[in-house]
Amino acid sequence: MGHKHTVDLSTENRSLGGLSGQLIGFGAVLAVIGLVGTLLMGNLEGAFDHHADDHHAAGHAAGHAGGHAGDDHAGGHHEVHGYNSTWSIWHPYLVAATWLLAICLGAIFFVLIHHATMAAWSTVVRRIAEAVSRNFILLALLFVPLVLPSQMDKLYKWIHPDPGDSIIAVKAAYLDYDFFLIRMAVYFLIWIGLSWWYHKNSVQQDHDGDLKRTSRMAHFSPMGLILFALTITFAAYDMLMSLDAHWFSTIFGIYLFGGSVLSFHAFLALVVIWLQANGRLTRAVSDEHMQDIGKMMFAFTVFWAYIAFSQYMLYWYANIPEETAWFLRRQENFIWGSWGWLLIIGRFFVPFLFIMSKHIKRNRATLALAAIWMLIMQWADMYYLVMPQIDGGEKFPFTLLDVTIPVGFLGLFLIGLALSLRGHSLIAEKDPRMPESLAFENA
Amino acid sequence: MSDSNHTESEFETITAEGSENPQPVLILAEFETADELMSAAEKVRDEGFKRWDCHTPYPVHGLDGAMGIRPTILPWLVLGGGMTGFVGGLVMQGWMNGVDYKFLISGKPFFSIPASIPVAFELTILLSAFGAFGGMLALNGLPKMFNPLFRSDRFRRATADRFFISIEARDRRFDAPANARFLRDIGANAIEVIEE
Repeated sequence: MGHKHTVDLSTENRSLGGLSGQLIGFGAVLAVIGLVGTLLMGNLEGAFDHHADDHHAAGHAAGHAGGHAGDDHAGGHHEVHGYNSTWSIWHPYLVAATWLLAICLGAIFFVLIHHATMAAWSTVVRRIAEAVSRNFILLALLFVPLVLPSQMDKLYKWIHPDPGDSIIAVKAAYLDYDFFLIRMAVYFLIWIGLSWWYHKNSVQQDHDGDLKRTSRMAHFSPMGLILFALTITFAAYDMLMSLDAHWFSTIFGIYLFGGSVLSFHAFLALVVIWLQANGRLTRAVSDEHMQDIGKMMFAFTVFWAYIAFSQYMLYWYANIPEETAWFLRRQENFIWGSWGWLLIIGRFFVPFLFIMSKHIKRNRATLALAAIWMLIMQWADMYYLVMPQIDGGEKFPFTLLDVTIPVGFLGLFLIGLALSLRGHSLIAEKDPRMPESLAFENA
Repeated sequence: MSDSNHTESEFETITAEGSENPQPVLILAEFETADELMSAAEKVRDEGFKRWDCHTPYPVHGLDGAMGIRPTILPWLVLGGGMTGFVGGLVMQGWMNGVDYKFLISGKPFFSIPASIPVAFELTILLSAFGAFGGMLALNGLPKMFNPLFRSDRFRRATADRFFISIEARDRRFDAPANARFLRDIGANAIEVIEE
């Protein structure tokens, strides 16, 4: 449509410039707060006390020191320990790591799906998605300590199953530590490979303007999406579902996927709003683009609820003990029952009604509010997947470590983002769909 | 009017056959391009016309703003439809399964939220869609079997390659000769007045 005034990019501030120092500084402050807080609170919680004896007690959750963990464990003796773990610092660590992993997974999905569909509206923000997805490197580093044998013992009880645990015995071929490590390596290699390849091609196109890069990226994207779908599914099984090795849900990977795409769009909205508040991309990214990002946040709020309910209802209806056990731990006591309602209300109804209107999506302040809320809810969701495994869900394991660790990781995440955004344009300069993206309007 | 280059003869009058006392019902102006239509629409809007419309072969982005169209209430109709479906679905199942005709099925509660969500969800979607579809038709005054615009042969190109503005005679500012001059000034390349 010729009537649309064209955005003149030459006068647009589209490099991170001095903001990279600001972002790295902010990230560093968060990281330091997170680290110091974690050390302080960890000491108070006795998280670092029982390194020595814990290893031997692995698989038998009861009977070791550590104020928070060992106090009231009389009931735990009689249970099968395929799923029951005692609190350790690695529980909040896993929650925080999967929380940020979800954002990265959403980012690489964003890049892939927009190449696969040759989407134009999103071209102005695709570079930010590419930069966010490069944080897979950081997450790989964060996951290394998690998969060391001593930490695995504390989280994943299948590693040393109780004698006679026939349910885990039949899964032994899959739930094998070496095989687990290989899978984790494969996931991260694929994710890092995809994010680096797409980022590299996109950045190099800024310089050479080679259109073949666009078609090459589009050609590979369906294969990338298949790899993505397989890896996110099995990663969800390995990292989160196998915390309860007795339980299984085939929809679990899609559950993580729904939350991932939602969190990424929320994060993207915040990054763009922050950039614009600092005079970057003020005209390249218009209300129209913000509205579309908001639409995706809305859509995946619904998608997440749809998947979460689908998983719940089938198990509720069939009412088979080995399937309902996971939900019983999350429903049959006040703490986790309330947390479940927190997700239903806070993760679905509140954002669903709040960002339904286009005025909310087009207003930076209200969109930012929704985005922050959704990111907190993503954390609450990961918390709900991990923490009720502690002591059979009988007590509330919240400590200040649940705050300090995510804050510290977020700091590292922002530093990683600054390093990826720095030195390149904030938009894909010579992408052939850029003019169409700049002129985008919602019908 | 002598100082004007345009005279009243510069618009064509189309009169309905067999009309006893023909009165103009609308004036139709043709434009060559979407851009011309856009800028003309802005001027028609600024001139204070209320009962007028644009006709284009395809959706023209930004035309709503150029015409000064007020936001539609359609989203509220859809929301109302959706809420009715959701609440109605739950109430219907509560009444049927929990009160009116209790029937024990595999030990499940007579009424429970999880079992009722699928039907409530589907009714939410259904009534939202009805709200959107029926509401759109109603707000646009559709279905409408005939419009005086159809008397114009020229207007047929609105579905192909021409852009039109029509101003209804019900508009307070309607005045065929003056409007024709105004439309000519803002870029129309042909003007017709339709009488019935």
